[in-house]
Amino acid sequence: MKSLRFALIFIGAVGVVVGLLMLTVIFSSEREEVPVIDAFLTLVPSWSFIGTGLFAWWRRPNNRTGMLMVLVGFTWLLVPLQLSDSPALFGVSMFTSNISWVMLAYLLLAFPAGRLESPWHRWLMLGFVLDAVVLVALTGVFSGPELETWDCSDCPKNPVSIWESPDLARLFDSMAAIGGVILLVILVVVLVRRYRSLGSVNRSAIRPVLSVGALTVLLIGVLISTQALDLSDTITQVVFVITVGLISAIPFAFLVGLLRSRFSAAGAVSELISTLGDTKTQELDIRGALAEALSDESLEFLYWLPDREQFVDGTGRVAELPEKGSGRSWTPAEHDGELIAAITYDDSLGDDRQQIKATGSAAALALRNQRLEAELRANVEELRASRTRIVQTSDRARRELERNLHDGAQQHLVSMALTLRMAQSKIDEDPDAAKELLGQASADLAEATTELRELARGIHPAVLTDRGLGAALGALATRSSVPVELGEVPEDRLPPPVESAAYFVVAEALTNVARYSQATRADVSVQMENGHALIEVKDNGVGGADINGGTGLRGLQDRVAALDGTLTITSISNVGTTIRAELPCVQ
Amino acid sequence: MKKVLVVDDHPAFRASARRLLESEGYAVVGEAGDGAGALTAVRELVPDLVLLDVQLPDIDGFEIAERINASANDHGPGIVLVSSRDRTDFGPLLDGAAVLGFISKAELTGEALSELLR
Repeated sequence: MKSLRFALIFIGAVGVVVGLLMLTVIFSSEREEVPVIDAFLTLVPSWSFIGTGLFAWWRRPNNRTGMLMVLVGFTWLLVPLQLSDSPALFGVSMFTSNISWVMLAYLLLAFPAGRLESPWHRWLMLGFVLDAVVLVALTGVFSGPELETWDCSDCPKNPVSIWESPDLARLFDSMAAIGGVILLVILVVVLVRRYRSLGSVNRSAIRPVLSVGALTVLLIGVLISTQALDLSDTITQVVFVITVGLISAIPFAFLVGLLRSRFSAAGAVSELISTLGDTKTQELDIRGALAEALSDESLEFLYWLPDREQFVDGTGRVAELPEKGSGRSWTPAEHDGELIAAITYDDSLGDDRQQIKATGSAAALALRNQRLEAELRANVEELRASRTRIVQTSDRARRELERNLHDGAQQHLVSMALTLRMAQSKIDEDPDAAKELLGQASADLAEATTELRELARGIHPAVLTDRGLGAALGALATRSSVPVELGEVPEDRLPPPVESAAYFVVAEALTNVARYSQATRADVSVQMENGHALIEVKDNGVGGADINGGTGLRGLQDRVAALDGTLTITSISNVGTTIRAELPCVQ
Repeated sequence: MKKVLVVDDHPAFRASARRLLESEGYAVVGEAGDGAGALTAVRELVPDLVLLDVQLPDIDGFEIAERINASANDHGPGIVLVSSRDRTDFGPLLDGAAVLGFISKAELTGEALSELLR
């Protein structure tokens, strides 16, 4: 920061010296009748631009607007070279006298970001350079040694006269005038559209500069027209003085805009950063302070939870980063290279990105604490969601159970009751028919028994309770319609909740294999590792399993999570699906 | 001989009911597996009695009974609701239904039907 300050002071000093040198050019000119006015018209706008530009450059070194303002000031200082009696300096002025207008157009076009935002703007700037520098210089080149077309009898001899052709010179002169008016109209349109597209944060900042700038551009157009139409010198001079006055006002308008919002914002942000560097940052409402400093109430922190690989907001809800074109941007807040959070904000704060990032990094330690809170809230939120899902799953299971009983065993029993009653009524008069009916009732009873057995197994398999996981998984493998290779399974009994969860993970996984995978085989294993049971079911099917695809896998995840375990699914297209559950075995 | 339509989504019950009713002297003129089928069959077969299951896959038995009564202008068939559930499972719904009565499926007999038709 110190070296920047010295550099800016040096540039300022150069500005003063060049200004004074130009005063000597103006006052020594034999063609200048009222040198005081010219001195005024040179120094006031140029020093205004340089002074305010240096101030802006110092306060916001990452924004090139300040530098551009300084350049406008310096190029404006070159204008009096055309009054010089020295042919060499006069020759230079033929190329430089209009650069200040080009720079001014660039500044307006690049404001407030300090850079041209689209290729279309670059083409417009190329137009300005061709018109105001190249065409004007060509006019000089073809005007002949005495500069007939310039109507300047007392000018020094034209040092850049290469080929005298007054017609060509007049043609280039007219082209420059017409082109200038067209380009200025385009610039005004671009500025108006730019203003309309800005968010409220930037509007108040740039309203003054764009108002004065647009008015100035219009007056420059009028000035070119009055010169082209050969109106009276008085009118031209009046318009010129008003124009110069307005140009001098532009840097101040810029300053007013900055003071209105951005400088206070920049100051507040700097202050915030130094506060964050002090102490007790955890007690500070960092979001609120930064939002206020940048005048963006929508500013928000999204905390990165590396274990979940998700962002969550302050309330712990899962959140997505803003997408391009959504009107919002984001900047990472990192600590020692570790991503802590993302700061999301209105797009209009784009050029404050570095400051936002600096604030985020300064606040990273405090943000880590806030991230812990957000993570806790996220866990609570997840717990709440999982509790709701468990209740829903339980309700669904009850409904299914009722439906299965009603549609299955109950129907067979009803049918059996009717058949037995008919058999009873026929037993005397038609024993054969009664015998047949009894046979049918017996079949109904067998069906009902099978249905009930299946149902009971689905609720909780007795073999699991009686004989443990190995026997229960063996039974599952036997019943599976897809061939199952049962690998390692611990011989020792595991805690009942773990056995239960492991059994249902394998049961659900094998049901999915049979229903969806089109696999020709599946491998099941349960291994003990560091006090954890690792359950794995792997198939060679078509893949495409998704935990959010249905209620089955989601229910398993909740069941596993309830035991502080984790469930992961790897499903690769045409390779297969692997479901892994890791369950801590606390006795 | 009274013409009966049996409406139930379980084929096993429809078959048992048909056997029982026919052995009791009723003529089972048709069967339907859902509410829409029942409404069509009532229009086409014009039965004297509809043995109507309460729980059907599309429309429930109470609703079908209302529709049959509404379209028949008091000249419709008698309707007897049946279910494998107990009468108490339906509470006041049964009292408000415009049907001859309710018989639990397991207690369905010709005698029970005659009681309701009397």
